[in-house]
Amino acid sequence: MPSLPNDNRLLRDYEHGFVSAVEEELVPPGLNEEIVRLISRKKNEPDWLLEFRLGALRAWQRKTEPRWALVRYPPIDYQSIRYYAAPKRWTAGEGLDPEIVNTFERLGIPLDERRQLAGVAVDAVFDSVSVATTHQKLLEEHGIVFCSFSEAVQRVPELVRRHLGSVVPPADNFFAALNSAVFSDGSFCYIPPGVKCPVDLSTYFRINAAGTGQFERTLIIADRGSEVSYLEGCTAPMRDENQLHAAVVELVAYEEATIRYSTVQNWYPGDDEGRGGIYNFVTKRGECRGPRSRISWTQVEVGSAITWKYPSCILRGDDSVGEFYSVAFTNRRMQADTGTKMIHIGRRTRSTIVSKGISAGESVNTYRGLVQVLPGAEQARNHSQCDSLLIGNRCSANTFPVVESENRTAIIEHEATTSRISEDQLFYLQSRGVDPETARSLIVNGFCREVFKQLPLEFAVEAVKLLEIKMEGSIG
Amino acid sequence: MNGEALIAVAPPGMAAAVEDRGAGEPVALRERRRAALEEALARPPPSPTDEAWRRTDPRRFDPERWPIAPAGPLHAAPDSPPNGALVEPFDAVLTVWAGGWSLADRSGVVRSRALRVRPLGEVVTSDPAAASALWEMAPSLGPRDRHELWALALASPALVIEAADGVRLERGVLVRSLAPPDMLWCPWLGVRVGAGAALHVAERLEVGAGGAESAAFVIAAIRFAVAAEGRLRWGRLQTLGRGALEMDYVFGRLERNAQADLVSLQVGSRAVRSRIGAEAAATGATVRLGGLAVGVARQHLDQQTVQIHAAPDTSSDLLFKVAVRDRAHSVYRGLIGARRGSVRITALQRNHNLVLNDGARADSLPGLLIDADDLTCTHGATIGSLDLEQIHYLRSRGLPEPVARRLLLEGFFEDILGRLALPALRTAARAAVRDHLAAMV
Amino acid sequence: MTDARPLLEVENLEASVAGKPILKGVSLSIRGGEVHALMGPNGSGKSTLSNVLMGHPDYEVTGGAVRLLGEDLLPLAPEERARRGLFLAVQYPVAIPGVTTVQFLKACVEAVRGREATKAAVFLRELRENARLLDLGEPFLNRPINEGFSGGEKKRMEILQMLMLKPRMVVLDETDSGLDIDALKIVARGVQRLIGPEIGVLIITHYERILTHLPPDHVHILVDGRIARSGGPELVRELEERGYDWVREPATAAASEPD
Repeated sequence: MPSLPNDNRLLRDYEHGFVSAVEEELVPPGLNEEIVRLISRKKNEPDWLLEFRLGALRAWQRKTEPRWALVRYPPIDYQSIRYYAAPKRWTAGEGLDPEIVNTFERLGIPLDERRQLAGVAVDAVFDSVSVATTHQKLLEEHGIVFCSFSEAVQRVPELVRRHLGSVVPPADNFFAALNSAVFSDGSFCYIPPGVKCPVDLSTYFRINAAGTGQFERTLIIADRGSEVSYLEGCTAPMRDENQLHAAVVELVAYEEATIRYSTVQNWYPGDDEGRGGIYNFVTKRGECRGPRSRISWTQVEVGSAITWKYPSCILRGDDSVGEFYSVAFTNRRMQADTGTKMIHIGRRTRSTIVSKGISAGESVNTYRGLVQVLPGAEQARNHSQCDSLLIGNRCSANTFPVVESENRTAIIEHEATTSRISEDQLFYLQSRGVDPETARSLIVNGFCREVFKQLPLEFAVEAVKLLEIKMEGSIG
Repeated sequence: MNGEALIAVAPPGMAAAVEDRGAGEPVALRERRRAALEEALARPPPSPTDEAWRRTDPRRFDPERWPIAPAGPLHAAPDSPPNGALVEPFDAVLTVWAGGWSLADRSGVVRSRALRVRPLGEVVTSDPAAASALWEMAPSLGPRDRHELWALALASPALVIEAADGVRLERGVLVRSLAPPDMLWCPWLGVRVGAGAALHVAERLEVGAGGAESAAFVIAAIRFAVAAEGRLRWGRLQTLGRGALEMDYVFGRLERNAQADLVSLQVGSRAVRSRIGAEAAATGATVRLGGLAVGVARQHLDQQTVQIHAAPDTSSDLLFKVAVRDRAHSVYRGLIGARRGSVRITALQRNHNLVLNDGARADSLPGLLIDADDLTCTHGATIGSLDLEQIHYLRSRGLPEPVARRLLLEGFFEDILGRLALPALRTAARAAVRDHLAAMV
Repeated sequence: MTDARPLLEVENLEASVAGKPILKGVSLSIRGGEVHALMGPNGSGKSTLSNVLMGHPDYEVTGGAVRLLGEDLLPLAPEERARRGLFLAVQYPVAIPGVTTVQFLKACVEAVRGREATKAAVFLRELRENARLLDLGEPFLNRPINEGFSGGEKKRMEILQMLMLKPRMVVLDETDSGLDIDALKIVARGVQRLIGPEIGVLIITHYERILTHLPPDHVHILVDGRIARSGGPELVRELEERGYDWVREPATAAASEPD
């Protein structure tokens, strides 16, 4: 069983590092057709979905794991990972295990109907299954479907079938193929035409079981003229071993629909020596399928041993808009390789990229981005701003944007800077009586402001607090 | 591996050409040629799936499909009259062709020993450390390119220009590189600028004989070593014909307080793949890089720049401008690297592209690879077209649209041309760009 | 007093931007030797009129006619209009990176006045003389045009271009905005230099200030895309005292009032 590192600073730093004593039903480790069939059977899935999974498994078996120049980790033994873990009482239909309710309570997410968070409907995912979705009644009044992915397969199979894999095809990349084969649960959301979702929707992911990977799948469909804001939060216990998280998120925005997707990712990053932590290999992509649609990604990445994700937008509809706002903080031996892709297909499509990377300790923080303007994307516009801040002299910050234009009328601008916290700014604040640590955190907050202001208010407050905690003791 | 063993495994003619070049050279240099060939053979040929070759088809640059240009003292200079206006102002003119070279000492700088030009073999004998430094010089960002290794193994002529300590050659040296038509040619040039010396080098690369359309494949390697307080200004105008292929490996190293100002002007060739860069290796070194490229028809221009900071208090400033029209495709890849410990550095990188019609394509990949913390690095890239407001403004002053467009393009490139130190080269470059642009608008 | 034929005739001009009608039937007639002022509140269509006269591609003419010395201007490209003697001093002069003022002016003068006018000695003498009149020093001539120029410098550069191109019909689009009193005097001095019996001037402005330096013979007030009132110089004072609201009411009746 995993042990908790007995280090006060670490505990304060990663306060979500506890393990819940929940009896879980586990499948044996390993990945083969039998396991995939077993997962599908447990979820009582229709044949087409089993076929989808098996096709993805075959694609995955043909693919080789990607190697990235600036990301280093020991080989992952995919046969030693458990691909399914679910709380026993839940699967037996005996309601929620009080320990799970407790877990989410400690994470600040009450599942109890009477005390649930105002203004946010939460889908809580514990290891492989969605355990509770709040605010159901209110959502139903508006015709909004917001439930666990497994439930959606039963409730609205046609919607799921039509959209699943339509933005991220099962064979898209190694980790997307893996997810498509074994995805366990996740959230599904459908907003009917013209509906402005009255509350923010949210999924909270919790990895609890040891030796388990988490492979959730999220699908959000915003029909014509609808609007939704979606929040995603993630934590995991501190364990010495590395755990794999390979999620797929697909967004589809139809004509004049808007989807705002915000993430605060605080998976366990491992200890000072680089032991343990989550490998966060995620494929997130949205398609602006209809004209004048809009997809906006905002992410605050402060956890995980390794992060590899590029939330992207396919701007297919004319006049559609894609946005990417990101703060990535790395410390200790963390490695973050993140960025976005903006694919301009439709006319007058616009995209904005704001990426703020902060590296401390011995971490490596890399921005990788692609802005592609295809020949038909008349008058496409892109503006990218990628800034890196370095704290200490043992970390690295890399920026690798790719800009491609095949249209004469497109205008693309990319700017990037890398610098350390300015001595002048520090001195100025200190001369006004602010201690250096607070001064640094003020400066870093200012550096990230453009991204934080994209987040819903409570989330932004949370993000600022989180970054402050993460920054403590990071001054080398 | 010895010469015979290499002949057995190398592509036909390749090993023999290496042996042929090494025949009259010191053993140390011959061994280096063999080592380069061996290393090249050990490496798999580039494939379109390699990250570095995703945007440029490596099959276009296959040296094995070309006959290798002859080497040795037996070959006469190609019949190409020097361009009087361009030659006039220089201290010395070095003409380089396949199998030979000549030097005109126009103001007595060679006689007075302020300037020296000699084969690399001689430098290997008299100053092995300096020769070795020039030969091995590379951005060290990974294993060396297979093409670069070919170029080292087949280097000919391999010449070194040396400016003695403290001399100031303001009028500089013109290097005329005359590529042989229909052959693979690998000229190698080393430039050593002595402590406190100042040297201007202007290079013109063109096809030596035959029409502007004649084919040629040039893989040129150029290395600079600028000693403490030295200053090098280097400008290169490439006007190979539309049938030519060109690859460049240009890299320099700067010592304490040294300065280098490098400008590359790519106008000709069917396809270009170049890497140009410098390393600020000691405190106070300053690098300025400028580039201009014009792509028409189906030209493919793949240019990489490298700014390496390996010491504190160094700075670099890069500006690369590209215009493409028709079906031309430009790829710009920029890299700023800051090694650990290189504190208080300033690095700038700007790349601006104009896509003049649909169907032309510009890719920009400006990269930062930073392992140091006390620095300011900035890069910026834009891709756009000529500004319609500017065109209208010029038309409202009576200029027809094509003239307005040409003027804007000339203005777009003017700051790069302004970086050229020698007025003669600037004039020649402006004319070459204008000729090329005249066909463009 | 001069040629009976008007220099510039605008007849029932209608124009729109991005499908939105801005000019709804504007008529003007300007003869050689006359200075006209066109005033009006923000958004009344003043700048649209100047842009339409010069043939800016963003503006669509939906009706009416514009003639310069009897010739229909509307089918002509902007450069053709310039060559026939129309000059517009634009409200927001455009910077052209890398193209120096000398280079720019040489190209323009050659296009409008012919190669003779750009012979080195003649051209430079004329350029320096005009630049001196406008207090533009030699360094300005060798800098890329309008790049990094202050607002006032840009406006003086417009007047310099006007003097060099020797137009017949000049339109000054809010050339006075953002100028201090000294810069305004310099600009007025430049325009005075050009003015003569052959030349027509249309001053588009918000303020009466420039009109004290360049007194108009005729004043027109544009409201909501139509000329609401035309009259003599006294109209300026009246406007100053009573504001634009006063002209708004009897809009249509005044439009057809003869000069």
